Formats: sequence, structure tokens, C-alpha cells
Amino acid sequence: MTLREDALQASYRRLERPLYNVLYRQLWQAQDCQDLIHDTFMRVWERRSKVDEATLDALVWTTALNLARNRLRWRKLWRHVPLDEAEAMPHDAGGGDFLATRRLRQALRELPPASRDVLLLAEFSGLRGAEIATVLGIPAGTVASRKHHAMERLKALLGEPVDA
Amino acid sequence: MRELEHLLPDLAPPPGGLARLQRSMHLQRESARRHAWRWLPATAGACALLLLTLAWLPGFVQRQQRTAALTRALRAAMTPPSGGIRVVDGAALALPSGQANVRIYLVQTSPPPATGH
Repeated sequence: MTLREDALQASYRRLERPLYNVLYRQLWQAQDCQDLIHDTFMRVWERRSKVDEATLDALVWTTALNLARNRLRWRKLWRHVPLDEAEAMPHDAGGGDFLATRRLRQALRELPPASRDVLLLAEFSGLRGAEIATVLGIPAGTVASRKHHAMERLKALLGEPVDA
Repeated sequence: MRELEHLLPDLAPPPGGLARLQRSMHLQRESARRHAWRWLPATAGACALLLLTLAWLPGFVQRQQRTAALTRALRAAMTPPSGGIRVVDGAALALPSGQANVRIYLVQTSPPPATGH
């Protein structure tokens, strides 16, 4: 059970974009996200002798989310305020509407972290409910309910029509 | 089609991520290889020392044993018999030695008794 280099690189190609999208909605800094994705894969590579390729993607997600939580904790501890990139975001990347981005960021921040993780993973990771449950270490039944609540709350915070 | 596509648009990550990962993996491999080579001279030296010790040790032990046996033999030879030196079947004639602590004797054995007629 040893992870091959080409398997790790294939996983990088597969997961880079979804990881970036999830992490960006937590860290809001492109460079931080890229560093974190890099650190995640290097960390997995360092433990390659114990990594099963069948569960590689789940391990990458778990590691990335843990590192993101550590980064956010570190920022809070040191009162580190990252440079807001909303203004610098390219128009086609959704950064054209500065106010909308700011509102979205604020709304996501108001969600409980556990619900936010579920929502972002459900949106971007392509993982099924049971896989998300494995990645987050929660019961499979909790995923759907957390996702539903997070979505309703987010829509409410952004003034979107909420499903009945 | 994602449910929140209008709220959470799909973003493209900055380019060069995979190349950076490949570089880091390459550097880590090189570093591990250098780390292994760094121990090589010390390991080779230790092995050579061990071999030399193994080659030299049996000879040393043998020499030590031989020296001890020789010492024992010399000591036994130099220890005078408890009853003093006696000449049996012969005669000893003291000769002047010129030194106070050195005595020289001329020892002559008796001829064997004649047999026959």
C-alpha cells in the first residue's frame, strides 16, 4: 500500500479546481488557497507509504479542510487580516460585483463552520452524501440536513427566495 | 448544474499549481537522496574500522596468549628449586666470575658405569 507519484498527480489534476473553489470561500485569498492545496498534497506525499490510493481523494479533502481550519484559527489568533481580494478578482471569475461578493462572503461567514463545509463540499467537490460524511467524519444522515439548513440560511442572508 | 451556481460561481485556480507540486516532490526526492549519501562516508568508515578490528583481534589475542605462556615458562625456569641446586651423577666446580652477584660453575657429569668386562 504505497501511493504512486502519478496517482498523486492525477488526483491533483482532478481535485485542484474543486479544492480551490471550496477553500477560496473559506480563506478568500488566492495565494493562500494555492499554498494550502500545495501543502495538502505534499503532506499526503510525505505519508505515501500509509496511503491507500482507493481513498486518496477523501484523504486529500480531509487534509485540506483541516489545514484550512488551522489557517483560519491562526489568523484569528494573530488577528491577521488578509488582503481583501474582492476588488482584484477578475470579472469573469465572479468578482465584478464587488458588493455582491462582499455580501456573499459575509453570509458564508455567518454560517456555522460545519454547515458551511457541507454546503461547499456538496456544491464543488462532486462527492456524494456518504463520501462527504466520511470526509467530515459525521453521520451520513446529517449531511443532507446540514446542507439544506445551510442553503436556506444562505439564501435568507442574501435575500434570495427561500424554498417552502 | 449546481444549485447555487448563481451565488457561488466556479473559479479557476491560478496556473502553475501542478508544476509547483512536481518541483517540490523532485526537491524532496533530491534532498532525501543527498541525506542518504551524506551518511555514506561515515558508514563506510565504520565498516572499514570494524573489518580491521576483526582482522587484527585474533592475532592480538594469540600474541597475548603466547606472551603469557612465555612469561610463565621463564618465571618457572628462573625460580630455583626449593631444596637448592644439587648435582646428581656429576661434580660442580666453582669458577671465578669477577662479579659478586654472578656465580659460574663448571658442571661435569659422571661417565656412565662401564658394562661388560
